[in-house]
Formats: sequence, C-alpha cells, structure tokens
Amino acid sequence: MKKIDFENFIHIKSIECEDYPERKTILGKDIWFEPRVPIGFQFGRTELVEQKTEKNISLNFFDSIVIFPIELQNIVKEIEGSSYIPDLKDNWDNMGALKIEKNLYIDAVQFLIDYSLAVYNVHNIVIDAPEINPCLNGTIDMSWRSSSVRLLINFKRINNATKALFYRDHYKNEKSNKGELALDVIDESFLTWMKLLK
Amino acid sequence: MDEVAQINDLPASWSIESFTDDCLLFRSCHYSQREKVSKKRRHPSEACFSLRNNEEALSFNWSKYAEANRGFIVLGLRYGVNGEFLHYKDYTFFKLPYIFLKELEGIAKIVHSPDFNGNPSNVGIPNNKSHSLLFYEDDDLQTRMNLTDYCNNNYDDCKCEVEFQIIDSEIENLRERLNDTEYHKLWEFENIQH
Repeated sequence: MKKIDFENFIHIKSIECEDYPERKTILGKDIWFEPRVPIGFQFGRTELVEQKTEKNISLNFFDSIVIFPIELQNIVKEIEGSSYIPDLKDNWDNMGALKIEKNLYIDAVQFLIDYSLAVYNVHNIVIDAPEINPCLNGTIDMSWRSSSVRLLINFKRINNATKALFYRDHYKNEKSNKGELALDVIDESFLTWMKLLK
Repeated sequence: MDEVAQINDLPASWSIESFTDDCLLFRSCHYSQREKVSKKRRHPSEACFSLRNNEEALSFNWSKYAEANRGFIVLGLRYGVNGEFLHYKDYTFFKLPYIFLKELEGIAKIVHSPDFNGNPSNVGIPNNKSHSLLFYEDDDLQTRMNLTDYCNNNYDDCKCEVEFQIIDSEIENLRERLNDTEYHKLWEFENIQH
C-alpha cells in the first residue's frame, strides 16, 4: 500500500472516479481507491491500495496450515473467530458450564474444513459460514441459515470419540431430516445437500 | 433461572399450578463469550436453549409471578459457582407465549416448578415461585432451532427491554439486606408489579 499525492488524486478523480471504493487499472495494474479524511474539497484524502492478487488464504489450525480459496474467507474468519472455544475453562459462564474438549473442537472444525472445501471443489459452490457456538453441556453447535434451508449440527464427545447429530429442513419443518453424521468419511449425500447452504 | 431441575418440598402457600393459554414464559439467555467473538452473532443462539449436564429440562420464569424485571432481580441475588453474585447484565430475557411453546414440535411437557430453598433461603440462593420447566423430547436440535428462529423472527416482541437504572438500584438495596427479602421468603410482594 502506498500513498498518492493529492494533486494526482484530483487528476484521477476528475477524469474517471464517481463512487468509492473503485478499482482502476493504472499502468496495467489494478488499484483500489478508498476515501479517508475529508479535507475541504469535494474529494477525500486518498490512499492507493493495491488489489490483493492472492487466490488463496491460509488458516493456521493447531499443528497444520490449511489453504483455502479466497472465496471461502468467511469460513476461515468464522473458524478463527471460534478459536477461543477450546480455551474455555469449566464454569465459563459462572453457572457450571462445562469446558469444550480440544479434540471435540478439532473434530468439529475439521468437519467444516473438509465439507466447505469439498463443496467448493466438487460443485464449485461457496457455502455460507456457519455460527460455531459452545454449549453449556460441553458440546459444540454449528448452525447455518441460508435463504432456502437451515442446518444445525451438534458435536459431542462420547467414549473418547466425537459424535455429530444433525437436523436440517427447508424452514417451517418442511423436508426435514435428522440423523448422525459419520465423521471419518465424506458423506456424499450430505455433501450434495450442503450445496443449498449458499 | 437455570436452577438445577428438582422440586423441593413446597410451603403450604405454594403449589404447582397450571398455565393459562394467554400467559408468557421468560427465558434468560447468556451473552455467551460475546467479548471474544467479533462477528455479529444471532442472539439467542441455539446454544442458549441447550441443557446443562445436570439439567433434565430448560428453566423459564412464568409471567404470573415474574416478568423480566423480577427475573433480573432473581439473577442478581444468585451466587455463581465462584461464590459471588451473578453478573445479571450478561443476560437477556426473551419472552415466549406459552401457547406457542406447548404446540411446538419436540416439546414433551411444560410444568410449573417453583424453586423453594427455605424460609428464608440462604444468601445467594433466592427462592423462585415463577420457576417453570420445559422438557424436550429425546432429540432437541429441531426444537432449539425453532426456539432461536422464533425469538429472532419476533425479536422486538420477544426481547425484554428493562430499565437497568431501576433494577440496579433495587438489586443493590436487596443485596445489602442479605436474605431478609421476600425473594428469600414466600414471594408475598406488596408491589404486584413483576
């Protein structure tokens, strides 16, 4: 990112720009213009921001780095935003809530990684990011609501293994379906259904 | 709210009562770790309607005896597990019509279940005459989604707005009285406002 001098900015603005932010191709390079502090003219002080050219985004997930296509950045943000969950201690709500086991969190997020990438790679569809929430009983909820369907998966630990129960429908309990998800393989029918989460 | 689901022996003036179809049930929902999550979250989430490990049913307050103000006061008089009074402002109360709840798929039953811990009860363990329990059928996922969607689709009606200045002052006053309050006795309030 580098700054542009104001005169040059006016020149560019007077020629081409109408609204912000706007992408311009200058000397064969894509550049984003973003408004900043107004300085008394009808234009704002502006910085040139080079357009990101990365096609991928990486996620540091415990001992590994997972590479996502940039289109799935909302999934990555949700996973990063949920990173506090395995750090919760017992009684995190001061009312006796149980901590979330690290292995449970890893398995739940691994499910999201596997399926979001698979839907993208197989069907070229970007699914919405879910909400990942800790439950009071030490389990994890992952919920989606798209324009046409909703899905809730509850991950829990039983006998040192992670179990995932789901409920899904097309709202108003229509075409509802529930059951248990196998986490050791990609369930193709479930994967196909997840195309609706966009 | 969220009392461990159990029914203690009740005083003579208390009994298990039946709900009327026009009554409301109030659920306190904890702002779970909101300071740690930057993204805007749905509130209440499905997690707000999950049961604790030692719970068989979900706790509510019955509007006949306690609406949101009184619900906050009961919370504010309770000790948390750390032995200190709860931060009642970490909660929001949502009100749901009883008639909606009783017809909701996946709910086994809803019962009035007064929480009586003595007369007076100990400091930090107030009684709750309004306490009620909602029992799920075996699998609660669908029901938790429907409860969340109901609250979010009817947010302005469901979310209880209260005047915390008044509640703060009342809780402060009541805490100073230790367990010499009606909340620790028989809930025979002079002021019937809930």
